[in-house]
Amino acid sequence: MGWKFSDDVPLYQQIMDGIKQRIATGDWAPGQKLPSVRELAVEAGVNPNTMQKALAELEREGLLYAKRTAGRFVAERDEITEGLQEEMLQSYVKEFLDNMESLGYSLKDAAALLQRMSQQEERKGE
Amino acid sequence: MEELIRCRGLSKRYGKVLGLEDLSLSIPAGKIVGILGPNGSGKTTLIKMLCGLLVPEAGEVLIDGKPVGTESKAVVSYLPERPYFSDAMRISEVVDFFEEFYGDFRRETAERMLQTLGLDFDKKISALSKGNREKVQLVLVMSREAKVYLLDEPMGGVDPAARDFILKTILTNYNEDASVLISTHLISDVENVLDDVIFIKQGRLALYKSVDEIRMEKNKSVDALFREVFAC
Amino acid sequence: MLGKLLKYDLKRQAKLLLAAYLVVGLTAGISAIFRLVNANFEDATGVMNIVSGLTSGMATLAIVVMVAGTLIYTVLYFRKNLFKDEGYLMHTLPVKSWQLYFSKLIAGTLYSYLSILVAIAALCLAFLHIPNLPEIISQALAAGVPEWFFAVTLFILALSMPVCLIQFYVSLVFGYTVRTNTKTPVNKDLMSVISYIVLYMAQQIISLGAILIWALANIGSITDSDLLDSVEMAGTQAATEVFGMFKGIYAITIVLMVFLSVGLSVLSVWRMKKHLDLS
Repeated sequence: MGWKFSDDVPLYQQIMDGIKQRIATGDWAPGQKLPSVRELAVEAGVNPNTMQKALAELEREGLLYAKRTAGRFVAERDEITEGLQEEMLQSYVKEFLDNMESLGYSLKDAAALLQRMSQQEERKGE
Repeated sequence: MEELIRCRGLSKRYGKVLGLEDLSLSIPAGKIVGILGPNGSGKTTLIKMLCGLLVPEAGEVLIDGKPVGTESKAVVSYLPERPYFSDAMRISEVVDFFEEFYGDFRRETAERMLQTLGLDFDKKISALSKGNREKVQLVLVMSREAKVYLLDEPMGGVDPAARDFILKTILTNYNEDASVLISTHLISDVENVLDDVIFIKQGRLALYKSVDEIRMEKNKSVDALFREVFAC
Repeated sequence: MLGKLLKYDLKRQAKLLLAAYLVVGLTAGISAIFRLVNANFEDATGVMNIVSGLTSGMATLAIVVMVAGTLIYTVLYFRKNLFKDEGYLMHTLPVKSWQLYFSKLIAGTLYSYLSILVAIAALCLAFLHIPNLPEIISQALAAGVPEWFFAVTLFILALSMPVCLIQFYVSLVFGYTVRTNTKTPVNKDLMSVISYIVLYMAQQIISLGAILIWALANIGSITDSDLLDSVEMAGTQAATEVFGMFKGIYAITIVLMVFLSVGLSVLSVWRMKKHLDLS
């Protein structure tokens, strides 16, 4: 469960993406209590203020919520968290297609490639 | 908000060579700030002025509203680049020393960290490896509940695991009433940990921005910007 | 804070110095044993005599080395603790500059007194002879030496220890706070030696000047006093006259010592506070 950061995009954005990923994959379950800001910051190796900023933004987006003295929690399963998975799927596919395009592959070419790969997988299974 | 560290018009010359020239800046509490610049740029001069090892020729320094002196030294925890404990002392004696002279020293914290590092309290400083010696110094400096932590090149000549330990220690001790100033030229190692960065070029303040601002505005890392600004 | 610094300085220097005292005690003890043997057993060859003389000589040498060594060690400790790497720790402690200076002065003085006491005890042991002090004093008094002489002499000797240390400490401070005009390194130890020499000469000149002034002021009483006659006088009256004259010189010596030492100390603490520049 490591945190990997690139150095040309603001950290808080990358942290937000990292957390969204964990929520979308179910790594951080709905309703799960988060460790403290400091603990998260130490784990990720980032400045606590930066971590705080990311968490505050996610609260604003409704993916996290804070209960007065109890701490921060992942939002309960609802449209927002489910919409998150959709959002991530979209961004993964877009990234894939962008990469394909840079190699000269159109959407059709990419689809054909995926078909071939899927068939190969099936054959391996036999 | 009253700034934790306030410098106004700091200047110091070494004959013809410039140390600092008319440097002014304000650093609030709760920040981890990187002081970046090549060797000889004035970083160490600035840090020495903040901890009272050097008196500026012009300008003033206020730490928590007080001028540099005995009172400010009680709230400033300084880690120099070099070893500053006597070789003949044992680790336990060094811990005793800090407890004796610094009211804000947390003995349990220091002992815990030293135990985690697997260090024998009876060992003399001279018997430790260079890396361990530096770790001991860092542990003691960070075990104080100071308002200002000045770390001068804490990661020079230290292995990656030790670097991780240092950064982790800094983050774990983070406190919104205190600020940590890290002077270094190994920027990529610390970038993720910094709130703001200060560039010192030839004794002058060249830049004071947050890391996020730099990444958003210039679309590059602080490390990359640094190489640009200080290109020879 | 001064107490804490003093405790630390005493402790840090204790290890080596106490070991030295032990060694001295041992050599003195050995010398004592041989002297005893020599005194109580017939020895035709006379070898015992030689050996006893040798061990006493070694003991004396050890004692001298110990006393001088204590002084040197104390001065080197001052230099190491305040102006080498350890200075980065000491000067960032929440203590005042004068406290750093003063605690080392006190510690150094105490250890130098201790070394003298150990030296005296060791000499007595090595030569198996304790001088009869009361008798010596009463003889001197009978010869006309005034009572105040002993107290004042003792006082001046006691003062001379810290004064001597101050000469070295101050020279080190001046040497190590020399303003470097370029970033090229200047040998600060050399600067300290030069400071010592300059200070020494300056103080000699001041002392001579003071004595000259005193002499001129008292020229009348010197020439037409009975001092010249007293050369022909016998016994106690002569002594009294001579010592009476020296009262003045003694007073000047003490005043000068104190004045110069305090002045130099104040100057060097100021210097350390404002012009410290560790490499």
